[in-house]
Amino acid sequence: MVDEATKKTLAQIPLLKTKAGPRDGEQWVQRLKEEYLSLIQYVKNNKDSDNDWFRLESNKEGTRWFGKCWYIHELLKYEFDVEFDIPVTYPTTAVEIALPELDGKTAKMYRGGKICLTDHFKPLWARNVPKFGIAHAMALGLGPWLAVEIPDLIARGVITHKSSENAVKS
Amino acid sequence: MADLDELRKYQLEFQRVQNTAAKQKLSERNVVELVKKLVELKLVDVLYTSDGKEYLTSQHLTKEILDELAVQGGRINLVDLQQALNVDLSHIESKVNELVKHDKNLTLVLGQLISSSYHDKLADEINDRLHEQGHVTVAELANLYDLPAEFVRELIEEKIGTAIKGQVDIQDKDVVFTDSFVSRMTARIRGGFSALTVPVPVGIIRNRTGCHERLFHTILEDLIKQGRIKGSISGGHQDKSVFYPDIYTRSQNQWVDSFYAQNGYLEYDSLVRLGIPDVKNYVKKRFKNEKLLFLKSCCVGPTIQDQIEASIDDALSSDSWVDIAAVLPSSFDSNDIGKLLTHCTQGRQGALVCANSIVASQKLISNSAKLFGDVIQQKAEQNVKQNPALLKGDGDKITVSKVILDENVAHEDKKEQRRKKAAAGSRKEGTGGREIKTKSTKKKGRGRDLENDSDDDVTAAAGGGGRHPDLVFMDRKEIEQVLESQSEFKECPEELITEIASQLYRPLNKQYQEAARSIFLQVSGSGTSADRKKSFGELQERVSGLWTNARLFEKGSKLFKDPNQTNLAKHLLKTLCTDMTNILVSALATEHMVSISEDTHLSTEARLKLINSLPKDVQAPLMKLHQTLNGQSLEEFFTTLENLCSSSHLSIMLKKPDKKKERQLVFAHRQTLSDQLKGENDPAMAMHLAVVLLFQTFTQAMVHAPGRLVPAVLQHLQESLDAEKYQSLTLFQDLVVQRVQAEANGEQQKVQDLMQELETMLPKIKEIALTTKRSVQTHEDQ
Repeated sequence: MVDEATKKTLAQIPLLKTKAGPRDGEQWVQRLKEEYLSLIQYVKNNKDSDNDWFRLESNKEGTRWFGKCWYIHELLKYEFDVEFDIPVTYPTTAVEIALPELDGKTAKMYRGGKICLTDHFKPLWARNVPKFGIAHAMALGLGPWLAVEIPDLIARGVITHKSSENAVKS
Repeated sequence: MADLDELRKYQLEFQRVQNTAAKQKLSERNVVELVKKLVELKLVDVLYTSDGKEYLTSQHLTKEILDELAVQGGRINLVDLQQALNVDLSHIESKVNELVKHDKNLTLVLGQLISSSYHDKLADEINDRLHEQGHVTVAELANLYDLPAEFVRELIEEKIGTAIKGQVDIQDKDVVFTDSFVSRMTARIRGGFSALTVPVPVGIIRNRTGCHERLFHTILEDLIKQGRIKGSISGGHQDKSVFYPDIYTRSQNQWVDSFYAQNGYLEYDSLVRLGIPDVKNYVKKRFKNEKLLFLKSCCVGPTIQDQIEASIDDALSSDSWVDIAAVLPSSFDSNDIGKLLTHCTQGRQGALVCANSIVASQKLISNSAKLFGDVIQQKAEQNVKQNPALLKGDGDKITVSKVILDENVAHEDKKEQRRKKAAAGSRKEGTGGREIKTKSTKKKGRGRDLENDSDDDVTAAAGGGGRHPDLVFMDRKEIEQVLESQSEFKECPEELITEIASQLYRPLNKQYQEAARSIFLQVSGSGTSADRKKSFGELQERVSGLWTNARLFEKGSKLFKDPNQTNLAKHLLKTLCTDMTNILVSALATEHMVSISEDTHLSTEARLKLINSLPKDVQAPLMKLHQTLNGQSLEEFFTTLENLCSSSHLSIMLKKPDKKKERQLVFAHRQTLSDQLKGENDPAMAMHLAVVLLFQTFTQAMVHAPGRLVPAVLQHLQESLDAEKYQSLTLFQDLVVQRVQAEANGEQQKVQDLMQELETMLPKIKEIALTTKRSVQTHEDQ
């Protein structure tokens, strides 16, 4: 199961109602609106609790999402690009969040930098269709993954801070 | 399209939300640390609340304190303030102190902050209370408002006349009252005290009126001064002091005056009962002009004194007695009567006070002394006849020395008197009484002198030394009895009789002794020559009788051999010679007026004592004689005895007995011995007698032997006795000895057996002793 803090954050994210995928026209717009509302709330919550950790934006149709996410470890901010497509079967199928920069650097990742989510994620998501949306995927999927993987990666020296990289280059 | 627009709006909103800076949030711990740091760096000056959750600046604290004070009505406890503001007490205290320093409207009292508005409010309240109750005390207020008395007092002083309408007691600044209250109290006190007719402690009335003590006394004093209340207070401003209404004092004085006028005396007890505290002073003040005599329980006026004096004079002039207690009221106690009497009899001669209340004239006593004249004479004669020994010592030394002393005193008295007379001059009245007194004592002294002088004369006439036991005429009891039997004293109280008896005791005894002595002198003077001769003759006879006996016994003892001879001599010394010495000593003692208890049986010590008390010239030869008694030689004793009896000392004729007389004596001796033997039942004694008797029959000499020497004598007899008789005697003697031994060993049975045996043998022994004598006698005659 997910930890308490995650559960709390999850509870604070508004649930969605419309069950529609990108191909559902008006319905999708409705769904997209709900996605935005819940994202706005989530980001607000994050900022209020001084826990802002990503930027996201979508294309006009809202089928492709991209942005940045970051993790602070030992007073250093490690920033990564993040991107994912809304699958056609969305919301039945969950989004597959990818961090292309880290492709091949860790075992817990599929080809193309898609992160391996925990075993709990999928059944949880399945049970909560159509109430869960992008915000939930971020909070339940990427957040925990970063918290586990990045310190490990840093410890293994697979990733280094950019400034120090620069320092090494220069 | 609207949906799309809306979507667009959301997208923008999302971007905006994402791009707003994240809220810079600090955790509480961080903030606490930050503030601490700031305070450390002295960048900010803040105070903490006591739970540590809030900071506040000191200015804010001031404001809050002032607000709180206003809310609480101008008075707040600092502890309450601390709770209300939730700030540490020390901060509040320092802040409040600062405030009080700068703000004149604020005061700090007993840890309470008080503003001037509270002062006003308090003053109003006090005023209300004052008008409600009529009076208030500072203590009460202090208690009520829980404020220190000093504070309340200051407040009242400040506000009196303005906010508080009333007046402060002049004497007691702690009491405030209204005018109406004062007048109410005055009315009450006036009423209460006007009603009093007897003395009452002020406290009772004060409690009734419920008035404050100080105020009460001020009012009371005013009222008395004004004359509104008639009376006086003794004891000052206390509850204990007593109010005496004038009406009461007046009636009291009236009673005292009338009692005194009627009775002529005042009894302290009854005055005290009337409620007069210091009786003596009261009486002194009241009767300044009267010549009162102050006694222990009462005082007596001149009328009673006159009365007493009159009755005393009466008694004195008629030579009788009077009991003053009968004249005086019954309330007088005997001590006081005594004092009164000594006062009244001061100027009178020959008055005798006894038992405190009875006055008798001296003449009465001398008269009663006469009653005893005959009795004395009789008794003295009787006594002299009965035991003249008592009178042997005349005029003992003690009396003599006393007489000398008395004479000295008398001389001194005279001297003193003369000196006093010279000095008196200016103060005649004062010394008057005493002069008379000394005169009387002098007279008494003289009287005694005369008596004693005659005593002395008698003593001189008797011309003896030594002492004698007190010759008592009658003891006091007997004198009393005699007095009581007289008709004059029939009604006399016992005390007087006892007194007279004790007064008479010594003179009577003296008189009696004197009489006895003179009688004795007469007797011894007239009858001496004949009596003495007679007694001397007797003495001579006895001594010479004993002496001859002793001589004869000595002769008998010389028949024995040496150890027995000395033993016999010793025995003789111890018995006959001692008797002789005793007779001589006691005779001499009688002659020299030394009293002895018995004639002959003197122990060695008693004899020695007696000898020592005799005059020197007789003492020496007697002493020698006494010493020879302890010696062994009869010769020595006889020579000293002869010396003593020679003409230089006793001039007792010791005639040497002639043959005829000697024989007579021996015969008489034997006769007595045989008589004794016939009547004797005790075997030991019989044995003794028998042996002595036998000795005499055989040797024609007397022997005086102790029991111890019986065997020796028996042995001596062996030659002359028949064998058979001798044997029975020795047997008997053995039995006697056995018996004595058995008795000493406590063998009862044996003693009895021997006793029986002895008794059977006794007649035989007697017979031997008696018959042998006869046969020998016949043999000698032949």
